[in-house]
Amino acid sequence: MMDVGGTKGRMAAYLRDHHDKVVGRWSDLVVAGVRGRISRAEVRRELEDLYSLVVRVISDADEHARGELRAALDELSRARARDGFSPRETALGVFSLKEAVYELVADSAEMVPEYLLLSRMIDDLGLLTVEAYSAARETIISDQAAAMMELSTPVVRLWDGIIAVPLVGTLDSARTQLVMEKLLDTLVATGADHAVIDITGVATVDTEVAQHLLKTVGAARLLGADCTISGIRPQVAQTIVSLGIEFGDVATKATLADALALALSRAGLKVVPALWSGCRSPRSGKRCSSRFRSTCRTTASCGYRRTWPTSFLPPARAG
Amino acid sequence: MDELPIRSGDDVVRVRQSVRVAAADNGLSLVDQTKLVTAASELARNTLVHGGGGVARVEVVKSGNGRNGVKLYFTDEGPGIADLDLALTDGWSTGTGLGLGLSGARRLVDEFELTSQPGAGTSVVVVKWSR
Amino acid sequence: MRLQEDLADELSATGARGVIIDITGVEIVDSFIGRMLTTIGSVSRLFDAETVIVGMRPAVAITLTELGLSLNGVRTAMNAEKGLEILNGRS
Repeated sequence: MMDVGGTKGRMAAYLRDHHDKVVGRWSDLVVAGVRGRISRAEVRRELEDLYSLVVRVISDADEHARGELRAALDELSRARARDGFSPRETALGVFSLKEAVYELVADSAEMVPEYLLLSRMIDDLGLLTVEAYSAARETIISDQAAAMMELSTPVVRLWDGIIAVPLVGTLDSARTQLVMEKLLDTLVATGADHAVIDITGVATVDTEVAQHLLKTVGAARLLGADCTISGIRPQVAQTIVSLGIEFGDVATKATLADALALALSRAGLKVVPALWSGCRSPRSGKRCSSRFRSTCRTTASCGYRRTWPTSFLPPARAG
Repeated sequence: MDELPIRSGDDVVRVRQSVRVAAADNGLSLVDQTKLVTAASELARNTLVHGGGGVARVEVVKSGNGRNGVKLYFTDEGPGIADLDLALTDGWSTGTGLGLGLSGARRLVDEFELTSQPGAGTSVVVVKWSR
Repeated sequence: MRLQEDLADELSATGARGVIIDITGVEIVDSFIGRMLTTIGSVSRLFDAETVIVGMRPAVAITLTELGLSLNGVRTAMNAEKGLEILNGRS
């Protein structure tokens, strides 16, 4: 039956007595592992802190020591994860304490139970490091995913009172929430009455995606805005019909241009050609009397010449 | 953990306020706060109207990866629900109001647990996490 | 509810053709409030008046959509000005 209390006490005492030697050797091993990415002074500082916590835990000095050690290792692992170290490098930093102690006790057979105790404890701490490291990486990944989603969901203004949301990629429920928030906030900020949701870039439109779209349209309508869905590709149209999806009274168009035209007409606006002022007589300098390019009858009988690049000019005529 | 009685319409308002504070204090976005408070309002009203009154509890919880969350408990000693499946799929969207609004409330939260037996009261526990 | 009674009295007395309900300051719309709004819409219609709800907050709109609550029988607009446009038949 191992006298744990006594063993712990002896290990703690040994670590205290050989403080400088052990921490020094430990630092050497860790510095070799990080290969210059962290300064020796920085490493020594980190390890001194950990060492005193380890000693406190082994000697059962106080009840807070364990929690503090876990917290310190957690923070260290997260920092290593953020700085791009591998999980192995991070864990080895902890395991090399075992090696440093082993080098000193290897010759004497007396410290075997003590070393075993330390070894078990450090194994546990090593695993802790790996867990903290993974958690930190996961946080980085999800932060990046969120940033990417935010960037790929722009809301643009097409015209006074008409905004558009070009969707690219997938439309899952998380993305839908973001689209709804950005769309509605923009509706309020611009006072727009019309929104066009373009799905040209949405690869698959199935029942779920259609539901997300209809949810988004429903939310926009609660703010008094009219919605049009554009970018319905032929294959998508077939899929929608075959799945029995009903868009009800929500207008759908093939292209963003069509949707814009519809929104403009609903807004009571019309696009008309600008007045034609291109034709000018080379002799009198007078302008062509027709107001629109479409009614300009510049022909051989018309005495005026269009002011176009040379290649477009009709063949030169007498007088 | 805050414990709030649900015996009147005013109590429902108090539950909403308490949930609002807890949600805001724990990093939930405005939309998520609104969703949680709305769900709490639905569930508290259910407790009052269908459960004959009961109790609400508000608890702050932590997830495995360190995110904060708000956990709500609604319990009553009322008649209980006979058909849980039916209660969770009642026709909500017509808004005619005969249903219990449980399916709607479930869509507003991240975790939802309903326990009920005829004659043994009802308990609803929901959680909403910060992102 | 008091609001509904007062509204019915007002519509009856004035013969008004439209009702604008401004919910800019409303932070939470649950099914209870939702029912109240649709009931107001029904009551108004009995007086041949149309109801427009204005100023809904984005967070509320998103929550209502998720809740699956559709406000049947009432129209919605961004603000009172646009609500008036609807009532005056310009939209």
